[in-house]
Amino acid sequence: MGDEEKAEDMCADLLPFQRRIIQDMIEEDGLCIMAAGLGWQRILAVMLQLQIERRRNPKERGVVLLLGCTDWQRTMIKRELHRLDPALHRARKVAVAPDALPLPADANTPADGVLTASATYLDPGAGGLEPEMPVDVTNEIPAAGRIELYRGRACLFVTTRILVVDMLNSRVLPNQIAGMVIMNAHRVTETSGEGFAARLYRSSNRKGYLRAFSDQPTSFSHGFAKVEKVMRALYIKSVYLWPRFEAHVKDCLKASEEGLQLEVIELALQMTPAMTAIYDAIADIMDSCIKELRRSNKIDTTELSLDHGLFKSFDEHVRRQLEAVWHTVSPRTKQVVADLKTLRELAEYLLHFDAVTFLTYLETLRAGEGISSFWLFHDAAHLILDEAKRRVYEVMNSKKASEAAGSKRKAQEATSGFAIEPVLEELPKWRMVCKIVQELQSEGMLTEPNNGHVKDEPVDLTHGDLNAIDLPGLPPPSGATPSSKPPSAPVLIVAQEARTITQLRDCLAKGGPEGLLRRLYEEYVLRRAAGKGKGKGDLPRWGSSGRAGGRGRAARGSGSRSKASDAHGTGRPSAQEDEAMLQEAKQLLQPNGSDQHQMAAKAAKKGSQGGPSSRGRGRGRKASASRAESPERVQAATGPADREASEEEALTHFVRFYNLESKEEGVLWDVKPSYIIMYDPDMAFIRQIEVFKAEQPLRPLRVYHLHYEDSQESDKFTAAVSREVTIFQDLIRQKEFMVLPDPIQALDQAKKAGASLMHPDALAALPGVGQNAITRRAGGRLSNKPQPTCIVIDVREFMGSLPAVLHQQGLQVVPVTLEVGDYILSPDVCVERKSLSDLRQSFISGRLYNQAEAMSKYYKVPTLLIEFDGDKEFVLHGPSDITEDIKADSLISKLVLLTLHFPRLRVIWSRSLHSTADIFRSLKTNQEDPDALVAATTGIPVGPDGMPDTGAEAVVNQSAVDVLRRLPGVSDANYRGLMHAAPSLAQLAALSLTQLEAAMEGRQAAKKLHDWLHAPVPHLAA
Amino acid sequence: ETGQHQVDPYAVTVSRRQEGNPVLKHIRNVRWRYGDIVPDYQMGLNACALFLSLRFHLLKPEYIHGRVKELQKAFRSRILLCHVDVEDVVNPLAQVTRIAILNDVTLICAWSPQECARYLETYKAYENKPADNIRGRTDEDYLSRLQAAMTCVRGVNRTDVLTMGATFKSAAGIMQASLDDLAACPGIGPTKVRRLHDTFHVPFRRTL
Repeated sequence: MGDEEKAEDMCADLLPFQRRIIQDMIEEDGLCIMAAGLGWQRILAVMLQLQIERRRNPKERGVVLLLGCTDWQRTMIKRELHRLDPALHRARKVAVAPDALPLPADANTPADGVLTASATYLDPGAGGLEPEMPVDVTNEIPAAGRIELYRGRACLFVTTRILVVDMLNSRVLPNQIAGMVIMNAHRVTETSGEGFAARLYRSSNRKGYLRAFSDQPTSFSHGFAKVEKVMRALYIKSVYLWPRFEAHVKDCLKASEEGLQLEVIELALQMTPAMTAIYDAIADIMDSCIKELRRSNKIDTTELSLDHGLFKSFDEHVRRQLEAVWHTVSPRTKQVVADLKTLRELAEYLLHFDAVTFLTYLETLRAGEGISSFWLFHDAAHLILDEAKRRVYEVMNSKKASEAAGSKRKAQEATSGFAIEPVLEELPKWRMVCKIVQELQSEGMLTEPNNGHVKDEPVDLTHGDLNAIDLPGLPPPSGATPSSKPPSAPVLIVAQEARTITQLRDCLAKGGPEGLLRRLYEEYVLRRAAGKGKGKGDLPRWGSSGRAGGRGRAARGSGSRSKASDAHGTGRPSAQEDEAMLQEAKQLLQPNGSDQHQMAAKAAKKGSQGGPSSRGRGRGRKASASRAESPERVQAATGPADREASEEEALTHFVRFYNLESKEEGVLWDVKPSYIIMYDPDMAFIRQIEVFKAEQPLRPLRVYHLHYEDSQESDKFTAAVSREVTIFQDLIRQKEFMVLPDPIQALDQAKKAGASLMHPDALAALPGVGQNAITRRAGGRLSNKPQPTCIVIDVREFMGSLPAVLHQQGLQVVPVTLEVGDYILSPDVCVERKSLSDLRQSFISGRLYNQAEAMSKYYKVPTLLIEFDGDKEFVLHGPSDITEDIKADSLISKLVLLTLHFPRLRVIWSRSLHSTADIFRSLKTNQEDPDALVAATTGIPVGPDGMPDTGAEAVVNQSAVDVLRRLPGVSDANYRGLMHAAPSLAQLAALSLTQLEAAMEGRQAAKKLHDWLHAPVPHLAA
Repeated sequence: ETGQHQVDPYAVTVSRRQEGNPVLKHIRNVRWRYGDIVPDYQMGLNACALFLSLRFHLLKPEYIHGRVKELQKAFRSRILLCHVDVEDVVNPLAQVTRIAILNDVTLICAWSPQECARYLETYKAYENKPADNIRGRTDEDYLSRLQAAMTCVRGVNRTDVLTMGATFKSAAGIMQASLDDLAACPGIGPTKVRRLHDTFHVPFRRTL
């Protein structure tokens, strides 16, 4: 009874449909698939809050575990929990210090993570639980601490891998778990970590609950009967679908009678002519890429058209089609597929990056792409480069330049006859954002209402309604603030990338867009000049072949467009241009304020005159007359007031920024904006705004939705919405015909099947093998022994699926941290598992060599398992990969070299996970079980006390070790010493030469490393 | 003993049993000649190979067992070159794998006669080759090294390395870059930024 009341209490904050979701889930375990942006975080937070309340009663036991959350999702849930019950926060603050704070993901560096984690588990929390914020259980908390946490806490976030390992090691027993909540359910498969955990849990706990969430319905469209597979993997019987068009959701998000409508003003901007030209050129190249693909005959190109070409799914679609035959695909086709991705990204960056950054990126890209690149040698690629350059600067005859610049000095100094003229094209959206903010400000929307500034202009609805929130007696959650205080940040600017946000802030600040571009431009010029000054002649080696090829092709390219007789017609900077660039850099370095000022003024003039023209189009939901004209007003209002520095300074005052990348979706509730500028369209965030609005119906809220006309941006947005709708409709249809076995029954059946699979006679039936086994058994020595069934597995392997499959097949899996090998089948047999991509990578990094060496040293039968993907063709490479000559970098050559150098190394070629399990079992017949303790200490250097220096579970930053071992001067002999001397790569980079000498025990090597680390990177681009 | 005399140290020696095997016509990069040897192929003094077609194995499952047994321990590297020429590989391959492991033979799978031949050629050609190529030893020039090191971080590509190089000026600069600095690099998304930063700043190993 009390519980229910409390539940009611906590749900009060939720929208009715959100409450429904919780009720459904509590009534019967299920998989909940909801549309993006409908507020999963609030639902989860309330569910956790209910559990925390339950555990306040000392009689209640059991922990609730949250699996499959990403970092930002965890942070978000914690924020929500804190919002629901600030007391939680306080309790945590007493118990532990900083980790309790719902930190943004990036502040939560692992370094302090460990401190807080160890502090956390020490508090016993026995008996009636104090409400506490859930902690993260990761590999950074020692085993003893984890046991404590499972026992004492109400809710925990757990890394799936750690949970599986802990369940197998009985650090947490299934009946200690009151429930499991699985986030990102679309990632679950039978053999994924979550599936494994669910199986371990359900095999002996049938009472606790298991609930799964996903807010990515589109992920359920991949593959056949995905929803059913997920449900089966989690032993769940029901699925709940919550699309945006669901009646409850619709009703909730529709404005109530007395409430205010959400105003949406769509602003369609036009790209600048240069942007359009680049955009068209990219489309051109993509078109030829598609034609090229069509020629390969490997792919069904009917669905591939340019309209789809700029969507993210396009290159994934192509890849998926080719995946099954990937090995037979010619290198050229592979390159085209890679190019499609590059081009799609480029089209995105064109809209996201400013002109200077875009050019920089383009130049880096050109330096990085090798000769194999298809698109770089397309005629239109030069067009892209030229246009990108023209957005930043132009090379002019110095006479012309001096006229244009009105600067005599320049003409005098230019020796080469050419000079660089900055153009500095602004992004149209920048100007628009400034205009909107300025307009709001001039309307008096952003100033304090009580400082006598009454608006005499009859602006629009919003004004009148602003008073509505001043009505007394409104409930606090509506976010109403007393009229005496201004809303703290009424404008929220939302963009995709952090970079965009930083730049927008600069745009609104003092210098405005011109100042920002000017700064970027100066950096660019100096960088180019620095590269040219030093690196003349000794161009970097890599890509030089590509460069030569490029030049050849470029010449051809420019031949065909002979009208472009400009020096920079080829897209590659000419000598004159380089000279002029140096000149420009010199001028920049001279402390000459007047020149700079002039430039800025000029750029500003350009910006306001010939610059981006923006055409507004009002399309408010209500489409009232005032709304429709509002963009025009935007434009009109910005004319003269535009350049008043004092006003621009104030522009950022009532503005808050949010980048979608940071994923702090609670921002709406924190900032409580009245105006939102959507710089980049985003479906999920728009939904968030709807939810936010629905919660506070009386609060006025206006959304400016910015997008470029005729770009992929707006298409993408509408496509995303309609795709979600279609997929939900499919899912609803699927749900009708879904046939699922009773999950518990399925579980029992699987158990039986596993038992029969284990039977050793099944193996004896194999010809050849069987006979051998029978002969041996005839000796009678082994017949009485129980069949060995245990495999020791490195804990890191639990990120993959093989341990789950082995367990499913009835083998006992023992997770241990291993120094040598991944799977220990017997005291003699040690297996290193490599998927095909791992295999390639670890040949390149040399890791496999080291691993083979270690395995050969400690085990009689060192084994390399090459694991093929069961869904793909079973081949190492395609016919085209077998060249005329023996090539040193082919996989064949490397395998040969490896087996020649380690003649004892055995190789297992496995078709799929299941065949690996079969092979493992067959190898284990007549072999003794491995000893977990021995396996764990194998290969670990003996410590000073004569005991192996195990130090419990060591957390290893593998990629850092890989990077370290590939640095010059670092060898097998000295890398351990380096790891002692400097805890991390960042700290290694800070060591002095003397310190390095001490750590590496070698002067030469230390000097080599030190010199390399601090050597300046040669200039690459152009 | 008779076998040893007929072995040409500069060629792959092929047993007469292999006559008619389509693999032979694809051995082009090294010389080969028939010789009286116990294994099917001998690639130099220390390496030999038995050839097995999986299709044949399905017909005569006992065959390979006998061949492996008679090979004894005369060679340092003993290869079982398996031509995967059946559709349903799982069972036969599992059997062959087991035989190879229990009898100290290294199993190499190839999917075409060309590929089989390439293995034989390479074993011969690489007879005395040092392992540098698989020990992560890269070219000495600066950019190759920088690229080799940085691309150890998953998802990082050449363009990213160039971008970081241009932004942070030196390898040490890249390693010491802050999250914000990394995020400011065009083309490097939040996931990669996070991975890079973790690689550089999370300790190599930590004992609990």
